[in-house]
Amino acid sequence: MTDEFVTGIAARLQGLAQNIVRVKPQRVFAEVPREKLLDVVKILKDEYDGYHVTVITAIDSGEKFEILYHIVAGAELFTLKVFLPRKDPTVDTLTGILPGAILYEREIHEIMGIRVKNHPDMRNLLLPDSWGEKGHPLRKDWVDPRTKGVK
Amino acid sequence: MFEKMVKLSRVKSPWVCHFNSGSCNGCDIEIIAALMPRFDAERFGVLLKGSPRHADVLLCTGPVTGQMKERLIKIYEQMPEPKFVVAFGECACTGAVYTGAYNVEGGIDKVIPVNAYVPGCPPKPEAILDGVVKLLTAFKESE
Amino acid sequence: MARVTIPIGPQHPALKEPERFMVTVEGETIVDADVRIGHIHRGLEKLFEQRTYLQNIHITERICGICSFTHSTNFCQATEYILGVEPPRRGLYLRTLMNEFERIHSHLLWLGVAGHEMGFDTLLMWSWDDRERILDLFEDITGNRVTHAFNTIGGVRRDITDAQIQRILHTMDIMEERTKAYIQVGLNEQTILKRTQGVGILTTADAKRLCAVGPRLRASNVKYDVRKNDPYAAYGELPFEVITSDTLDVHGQLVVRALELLECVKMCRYMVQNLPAGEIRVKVPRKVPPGEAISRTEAPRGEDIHYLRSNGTDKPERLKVRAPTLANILNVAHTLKGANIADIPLIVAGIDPCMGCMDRVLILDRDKESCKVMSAEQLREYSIEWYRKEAYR
Repeated sequence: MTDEFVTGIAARLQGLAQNIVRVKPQRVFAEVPREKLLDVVKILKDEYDGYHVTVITAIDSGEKFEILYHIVAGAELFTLKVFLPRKDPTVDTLTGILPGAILYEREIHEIMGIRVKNHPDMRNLLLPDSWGEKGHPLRKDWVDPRTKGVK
Repeated sequence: MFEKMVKLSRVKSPWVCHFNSGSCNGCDIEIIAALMPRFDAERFGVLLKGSPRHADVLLCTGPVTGQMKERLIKIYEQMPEPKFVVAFGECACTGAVYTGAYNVEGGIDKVIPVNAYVPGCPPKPEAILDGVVKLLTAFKESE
Repeated sequence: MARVTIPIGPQHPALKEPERFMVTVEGETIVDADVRIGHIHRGLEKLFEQRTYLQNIHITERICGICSFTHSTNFCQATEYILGVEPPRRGLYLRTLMNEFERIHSHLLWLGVAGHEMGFDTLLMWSWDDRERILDLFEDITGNRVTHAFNTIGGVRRDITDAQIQRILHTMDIMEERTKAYIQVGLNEQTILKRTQGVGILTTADAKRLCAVGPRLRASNVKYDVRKNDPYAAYGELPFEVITSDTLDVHGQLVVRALELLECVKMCRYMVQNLPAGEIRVKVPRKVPPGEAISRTEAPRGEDIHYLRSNGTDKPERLKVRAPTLANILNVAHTLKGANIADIPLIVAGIDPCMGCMDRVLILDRDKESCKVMSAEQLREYSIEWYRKEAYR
């Protein structure tokens, strides 16, 4: 049963997503190129009842940024991985399809410096108003200006 | 004479303003629990007030975050003299587990002067009463 | 009519954490609401990367003081998955037991807060007094009332004795009786019905669209509960129902939470009566191999998710935490639109915010350039007074 589901969705997302695996029940991982992200999310929403975006995780893995969209679709929790080059961390907004993503996109924007295209509202969400240009604290190369890296 | 009376009433019935400057809520619910029937701090005259302008004691919980730093100073300045600050909980005393986080300044005493510290994570409701009583005793004895 | 913008927050008198709402009103009706959170943002996600796994258990407990156990459960589950270890069944049962205790204390806390916001302080006193019984159990079993340090990677740290089981059963009998009384009050008491029915309506479609979670979602008649839909710890073996309500309003949330209390009592009884024998934890290595894991739990306020990535050292590469209140903030801003000023406290309290707040309300009239400062206490009194007048109209 489990494999049927994965092969089914792999066939449906042919050409849109790679490496679709189910690591354990209810945890499906897939890699999506950023141009195809909106198409995949739309398919998940329309055909797999994927209305609930749980959270968006941004990871700094050196060369690249990884954006992980955790979306509950039917009985499964999908994790769509999008890789972004460090020089151009731009991604399309999901808010047109899933309005619930608005706060999470603001969050990845300010703590990781991901540019979200066409986002309706890009003010600070978590960082203080006085934060200014101190950078994006969750990047691995970010240095706390208070200590300048000295422990 | 009048001053003595004011002082007496202040010691007998301290009005407390509670301010959360970045706490995890653990200390905050224990403060409320201290006012509830089991511990009933109100029988000692302790009254929780919403506005700092009415309060004698500022009960601070949590480490000071970047966003709350200015607001904490503002709240402190709004309180009438004489004012007392109690740092409630380990984070308010020193920053505790949050020390070193990028948006945490440290304990309350990094920002405003503190008169009494109540350590614990979170301190039990009895500790709140103990802390307030100790503070007031010190105030009563000071001339 | 002139539009007026009211900032609410961030300092607050009683319970909740700081947060600011900008509410635009026309007369008594709210036409727009905007949220600014982050007043207590401490930067924990960066801190997790600088601490070892064992230290992180204690930091995850301090993400939130009310649902501390859920967060540490989540973190331990994610780490156990990467390590490939399964805690012993007795450990899982004890973990689940504490999760349910936490739900009982959190729902009772909410009931009291909701009572306070609608001017029914008797309910606050009652429910917080009953809540102390659960805190006593916590103290009995773990040694602390709020942060327990009970969870660890690979199981739990303390076992319970037969005497403690007897005390749990005794407390559960009392809780069941008290909960039934609260359900009677919630369904029949005029104060509650007047203040909660038809207030803060969130339709099923909107709840899904705005990704609501937890009791707020179930009060919008969506049958979704992580404990049932994605069972973790021992929930797969426990008998319980997912409670929903079709009234969509704050009263629905009250009913959902009150009935969930009964389910919790049922589950706790079942767990201590069927507690498996054996070990409570397994030893795990200090270093965690590279990998990634997602762990979901149902916190008292809704779905809580942790994403963990490890890199082979004793410190995580990344730990992402999404607490349920962040997901619910969006629908609060939505439900506030069209509501009365007098209903703000109750709607915001409705989701049981872990960071909602109400203190300094500044009423600013742009046209007259006048400014009026209101504390949350005054706002609460204002709302109670408004409804009192309404009753005589």
